[in-house]
Amino acid sequence: MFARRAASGEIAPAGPAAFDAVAARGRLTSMVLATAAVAVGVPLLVESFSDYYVTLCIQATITAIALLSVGIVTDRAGLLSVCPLSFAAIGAWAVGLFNEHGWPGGFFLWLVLGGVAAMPFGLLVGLPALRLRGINLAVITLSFAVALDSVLNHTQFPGTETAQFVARPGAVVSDNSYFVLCWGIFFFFALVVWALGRLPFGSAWRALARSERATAAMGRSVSRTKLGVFVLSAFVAGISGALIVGQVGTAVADNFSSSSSLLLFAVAILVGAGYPEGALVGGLFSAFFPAILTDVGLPQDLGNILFAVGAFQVLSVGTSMTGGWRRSARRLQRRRRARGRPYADRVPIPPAHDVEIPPTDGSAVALTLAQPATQALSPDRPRRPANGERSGTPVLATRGLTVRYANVIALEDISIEIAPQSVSGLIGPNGAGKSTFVDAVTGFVTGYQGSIELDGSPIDSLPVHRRVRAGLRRTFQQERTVPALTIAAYVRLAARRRITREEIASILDFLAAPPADEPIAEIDVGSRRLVELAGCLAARPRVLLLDEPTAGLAQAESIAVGGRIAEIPERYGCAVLLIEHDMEVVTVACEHVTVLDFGREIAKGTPKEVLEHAAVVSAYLGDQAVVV
Amino acid sequence: MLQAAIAGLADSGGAYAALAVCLVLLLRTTGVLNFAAAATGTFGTYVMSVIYTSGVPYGVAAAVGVLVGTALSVAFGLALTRWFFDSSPAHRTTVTIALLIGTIAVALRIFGDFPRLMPNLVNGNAVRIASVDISNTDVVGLIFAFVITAGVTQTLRRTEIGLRLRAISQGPVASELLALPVRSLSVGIWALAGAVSTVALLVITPDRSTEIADLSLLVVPAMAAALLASFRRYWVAVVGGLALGAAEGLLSYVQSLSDYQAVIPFVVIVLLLLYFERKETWGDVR
Repeated sequence: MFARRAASGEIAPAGPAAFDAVAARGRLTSMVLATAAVAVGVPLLVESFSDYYVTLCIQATITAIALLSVGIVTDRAGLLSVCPLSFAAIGAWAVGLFNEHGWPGGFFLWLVLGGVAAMPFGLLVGLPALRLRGINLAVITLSFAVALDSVLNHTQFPGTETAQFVARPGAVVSDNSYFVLCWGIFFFFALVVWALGRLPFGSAWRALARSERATAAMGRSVSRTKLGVFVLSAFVAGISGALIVGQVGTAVADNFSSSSSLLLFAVAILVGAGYPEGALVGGLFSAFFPAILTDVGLPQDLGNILFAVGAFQVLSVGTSMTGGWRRSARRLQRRRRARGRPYADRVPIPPAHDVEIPPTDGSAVALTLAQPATQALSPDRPRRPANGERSGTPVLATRGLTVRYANVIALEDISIEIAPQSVSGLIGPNGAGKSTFVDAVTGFVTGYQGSIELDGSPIDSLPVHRRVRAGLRRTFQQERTVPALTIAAYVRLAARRRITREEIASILDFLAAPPADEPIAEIDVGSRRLVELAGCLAARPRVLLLDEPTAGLAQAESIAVGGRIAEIPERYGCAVLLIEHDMEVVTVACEHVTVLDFGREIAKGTPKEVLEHAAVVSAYLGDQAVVV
Repeated sequence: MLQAAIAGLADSGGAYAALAVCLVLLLRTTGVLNFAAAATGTFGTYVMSVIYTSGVPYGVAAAVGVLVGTALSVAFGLALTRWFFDSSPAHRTTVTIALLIGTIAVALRIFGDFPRLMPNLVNGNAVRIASVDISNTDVVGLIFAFVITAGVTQTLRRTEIGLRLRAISQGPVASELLALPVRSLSVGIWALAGAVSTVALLVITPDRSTEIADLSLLVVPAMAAALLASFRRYWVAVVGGLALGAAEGLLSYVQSLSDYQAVIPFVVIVLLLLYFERKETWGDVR
C-alpha cells in the first residue's frame, strides 16, 4: 500500500539512510556496553570503599531512586509534585508494620509492598489535581506533605517501642551487599524510565508537559496518563522509603519532613531528575555534599542554600544540568556525524503531480492575488469523482451545530457533510468560527447544540480522546509537537498502533519532512507542522481536520503541501477537512469548500464557484469592494 | 466547643485570612502563586525577635522586622519580573518554591533552629466571649485582616492604580504595550505582600511553635483559604481563612485529634479541588 514512489525527481534517501542505520546500530551497541560496564563496575568499585563511604553510597543511591520519582512527574510530565518523601514515608511505615506484625514474605517482598502501599496515596493526591495543570498539584502535594508531617510526628515508627527493628535478610546483611541491592533497584528503575521514554506510554508524559490538548488530540486520556505518572512515581518513592528502613532498621519522621521533600524537589530541578544520570548525580550531591562540607569545617546546611540557588539558576536558564550535558553531547555527535558524510539537508519538496488548478478569473483573482504560474502538474491521474457524485453516508456530518460563548454566537446552525475520501475546505475571514468548528467537532468545546456524527453514529457524548480513537484527528493552529521527542517517537506516539520504521519513513518522505531520528527540538516550525501532520496520518484516521497546516511555511512549500493534502485520501484512505487562509492552497487541495462568516455559512461549492460568490468576496474584502 | 472555635478563629484565622488575601492578589495581578509568602513574613519576624532580644523596644523591632520582610518580598518580586516575566504561571510558581526553600535554608543559617522569644504584638486581653479570652493581639490580627481586605478590594475597584492593576491581571503584555508600568506595579504588590505577611506572622507566632520551617509552611492553610475563593473573591478568602482557624480550634478541643490540626488544610484542599474540577477543562490557550 505504501509503495515507494519511484518517479524521477523524488527523494531517494537510500544511501544516507542505510548509513544512518549502521551508525545507529553501532551507537546502540556501544551504549549497551557502556551501561553494562557502569552497572557492574560501580558495585565493584564501591567494594573497595571504607564503611563510611559505603554508607554514603547507599544513601546516595536511595536518594537517587527518590529523585527519579520526582523526575518522572515534574521533569517528564511537567507536573509539580513536591512531596516525594511523603510517599517514601508511607513505604517506610508499611515495611515497619509488616515487620511488627511478622508478615510472611520477608524483607524483599515487603520492599515491593512498601511501594505498592504508596500507590493509593499517589492516586489520592493525583485525583483532585487531574483537571488543571501545574499549580494545583503543587498546592495539594505540599499540603499532603505538611499533613503527613503532623501525623508522623505523633506516631512512632512501628516496632520502636518493642525494639522490633527491621532486620535485613542474610543475602544483604552486609552494607556492601545492601549497596548492591539498592544499586540494582536504582538501575532497574533507570532502565524502566529509559525504556518507557522510548515507548508511547512514556512519550505521552512528554506530550502532557507540552500540551494537554495535544495529548488528548492524539487519543490519549489526559486523566489516565496523569494518574499513571502519579501512581508510578508514588511506587518508586515508596520503595525508596522502604530501602531507608532497610538501611537503618527503623525510621523517624524527620527523614521524611516536608522541608526535606521540598529540598529534594529543588535538587531534582537542579540536576534534571527526569534523566537517570541526573537522578544519580542528585543522589551523590545530597549524600556527599554535606559530608564534604563537614570535612572542610563548613556548616552542613550551606548545601541546602546552594541547592536552592542552583534550582533558581536552572529555572532562569531553562536547562537542568543533565539537560545541558545531553544537549552538548548531541551537538558533539552531530558535528562528528556531519564530518562523516555530506549533509543531506531538506530536499525541496517535489510538486504534486495529480492536481488540477481550475483556471481562475474575475473575483477569484482579486482574492488569490497574484497567482503564480501553476507548477508542472502532470494530469496523468484520473480526477476523483466530485463530491456530489459519491454515494454512501458521509464520514463526518454536523447537523445544526451551534456554539455560544455567553452572548456571542460563535457558530450558528452549521450543517456540513464530508464524503469519504474527499478533501473539503472550510474558509472564512478571521473570527468566522473555523477553529471553533474544529474544537466543537473534536470535543474541546462542549455544550454545543446540534449533533455531530462520525460514520453515521453520533459522537456528542464522547470526550476528546474517545472521538480521536473513533477516527477523528486534528492539528492545531499553532503547532503542538513535543520538542523533547524525536520525530520517530512522536509519530509512534501519535499513531496509537504498532508502526514499522519503514512506514514512518514513508509518511515522512511523502510530506518531505525531516528524517525520523531528528529531535523535534532541532527542526524549524514549518517542519514541525509537517511532523504533526505525519503523526495524524500514521494513525490512519477516518477524518483529518487540518487547522491552517501551511502557516509558517514559505509560499512555494505551502502550495506543495496543498498538493500533498490532495493526495491524502487516496494514499491513506481518510477524508480531509482543510481550514486555510491561503486560497491557492485551497484551490490546489479541495474539491469542495464551505465558507463561514460570523459563525454562519455563507457559501458552498467548488473552490471556483465559491471564490466568485458575491457574499464571499464581500466577507473578505468588505461590502465596498467593487468586483470587476 | 464554641469557645474552642472562637479561640481558633481569633488565634490563627486573621493571619490565614490576611495571607490568603495576599496570595489571591499576587496571583491575580502577577500570575504567581507565591509559595514563599509565609517565609518572607517568618524571616521578618525572626529579625524582630533578634533585635527585640538585644534590648530594643518592641515597636521599633517590629517595624524593622516588617521592613526586612517587605524588602525580601520586593527582592523576590524583582527577581520574578526581571527573569521570569514571560514564563508560564507554573514555571513562576516553581521559582517561588525554590525561593521558599532558599529562604528557609538561609533563615536557619542566620537564626539557628532553637526556639525564639516571640512577644505579643499588643499585650493583655481585650474581650471575653463565651468564657474565652481574646487577646489584644488576636483582635489586632482580625482587624488587620479586615482592613487589608477592604483596602485591597476598594483600591482595585475605585482608584486609578486599581484600574491599572486590574488591567495587568487581564493581560500583562497588553498592559505593557499600553505603557502601563507593569513591572513597578508588580513589585509594589510584592512589597505589600511582604509587609502583610510579616504582620500576619507577628500576630500568629506568639501562640505556636517557632520553628522556621513550620512557620514558613503556614502558607498551606492560607492556600486552602485562597482556593476556597477560587483565587478570585477576596472576601471569600477572608471567610475561608477564619473558618480554617475556627476548624483548627475545634480540632484542638478534641483531645485525641488535637495534634492533627495540620491535616485540615489538606482535607479542605482535596474536597475543594474535587468539587471545582469535576468538569473537564482545557487549561492552555487554543
